[in-house]
Amino acid sequence: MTTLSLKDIFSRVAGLTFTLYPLLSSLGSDVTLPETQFAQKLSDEGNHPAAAVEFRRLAITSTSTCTRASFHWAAAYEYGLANNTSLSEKMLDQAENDNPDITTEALLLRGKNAMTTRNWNEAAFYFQGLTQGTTQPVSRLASRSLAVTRLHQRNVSGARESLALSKDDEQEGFQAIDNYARGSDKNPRIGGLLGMIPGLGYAYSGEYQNAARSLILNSLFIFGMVDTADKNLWGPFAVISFFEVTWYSGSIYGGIDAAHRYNQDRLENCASEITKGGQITPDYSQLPILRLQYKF
Amino acid sequence: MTTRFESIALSILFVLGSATMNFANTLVEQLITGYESIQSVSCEVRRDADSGGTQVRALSRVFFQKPDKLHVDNVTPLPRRIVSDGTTFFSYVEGDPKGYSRPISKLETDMLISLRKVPATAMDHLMRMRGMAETNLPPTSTFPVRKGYDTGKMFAVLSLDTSNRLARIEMFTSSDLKQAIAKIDYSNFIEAAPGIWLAGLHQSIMWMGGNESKETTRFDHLSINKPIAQNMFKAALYFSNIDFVPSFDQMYPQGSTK
Repeated sequence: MTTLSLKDIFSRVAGLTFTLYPLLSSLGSDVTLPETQFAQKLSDEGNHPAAAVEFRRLAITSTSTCTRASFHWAAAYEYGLANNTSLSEKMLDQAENDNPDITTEALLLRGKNAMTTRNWNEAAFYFQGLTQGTTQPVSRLASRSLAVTRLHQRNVSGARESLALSKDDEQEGFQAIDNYARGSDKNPRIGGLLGMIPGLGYAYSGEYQNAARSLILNSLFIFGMVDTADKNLWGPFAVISFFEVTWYSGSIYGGIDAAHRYNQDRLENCASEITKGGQITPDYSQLPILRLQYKF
Repeated sequence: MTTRFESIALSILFVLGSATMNFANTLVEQLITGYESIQSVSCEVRRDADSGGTQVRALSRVFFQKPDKLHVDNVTPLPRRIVSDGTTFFSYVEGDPKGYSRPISKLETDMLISLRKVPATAMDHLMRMRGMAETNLPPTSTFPVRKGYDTGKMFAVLSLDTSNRLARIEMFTSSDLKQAIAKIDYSNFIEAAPGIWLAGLHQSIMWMGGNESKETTRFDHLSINKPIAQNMFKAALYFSNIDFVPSFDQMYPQGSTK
């Protein structure tokens, strides 16, 4: 009697699976529900790259072009969640090649991918196209996303025009844009210049805790430098000076960074008030029929 | 003698006449004539090119109206706008010191073809095959109608699918069809008028110098024979304070970086 090692057992089971697979798949015309549930489970667990691969596998084994398109779309969505936009785009290409009727769903995802990669011109192109000739809730989501994209392009009037394309009541969104337009950005150069006085750069952008921290640390280290110099302790003086140079340059850089952060937060706050957290999520339980849920 | 001369002349005329009739009845002419029923098209165009591992995506909005009216808004990779008002052609790339403009009557052939081709059709290729002798080629199960055209530089093959739609154009180095240069597949058809088809998806492959390059073009939101706002074709509305010149040499003088 021969004993089988774990490696042997694995290779035999894997071999059997690959041998039986074409036979098993030929029995059913298409994908069975438990197979989609596995991909969904991976997605629920947050393992989006694995879920994407599983959806790709389901797409490859599908005989119907529409089913294949739905699975490629799902793979694209999962790759998008995994921040792998280039693979997501490739999956969308496949989905659109297989089923031209999936274009709206593909363009929504392409717009989202373009926003992730901060390719605002491309995002605007997709969303603008979706604001016309589509019904609710697609047009609402597209017009809100287009408004956010315009804000990122520093085009406030364009953001208003985009939001006006929505067929929904967008009073809060318009209010958010007005508030954004009334406010002003912080100048990173001024932030950097003020940062030459420790803490002041942070304070300029409203980061008072960082300002206090910067002031205290720089004061302590400058005191240390003066004290060690007075006592002719040049070794400790050199060490403290080294750290103080780091803190001081950090104060200047921090002043610039804080201004950028302030501007970004201001924009993101406005954007979230416009979109109200609006997003699309696929209803995987309906696969292979691609059904999207719009959450606002 | 006169009778003999007349009969020769008549024979020549007959041959020429039948040849001309032959050209007029070619598949190329039939397809181009069919597209004449399309007066206007507006759409969004997404073109993905992949050559030698380099990928470029071009996105544009196109408004096309006969005769010679065109508005192309290229969003990416280069923000460029083309406006043709029916008599003059304007093109301007954002950030360039000057734009390009010429009367349509003085445009070069390639640009004229680009201006006059109906979007989402194969007209850019078909217009180059006009007036060329047609050869019948053996049908296949996928393509029951196949016609060949010797352009002098290459041999082009047009294939119609079972629904009589232009589904493929292939280009070969010669009529033996052994070495392919390019292949363009048309799909996602939309019937613009009875028997007149526009293709929403163009997938092309080119083989040159041992390299393969692919291009996929998608046409979305196609609107055919619907009115287009005439403001789209008024150049003055889109180009303010831009100096236009009639040649690319004047746009990018020697020594300039572009």
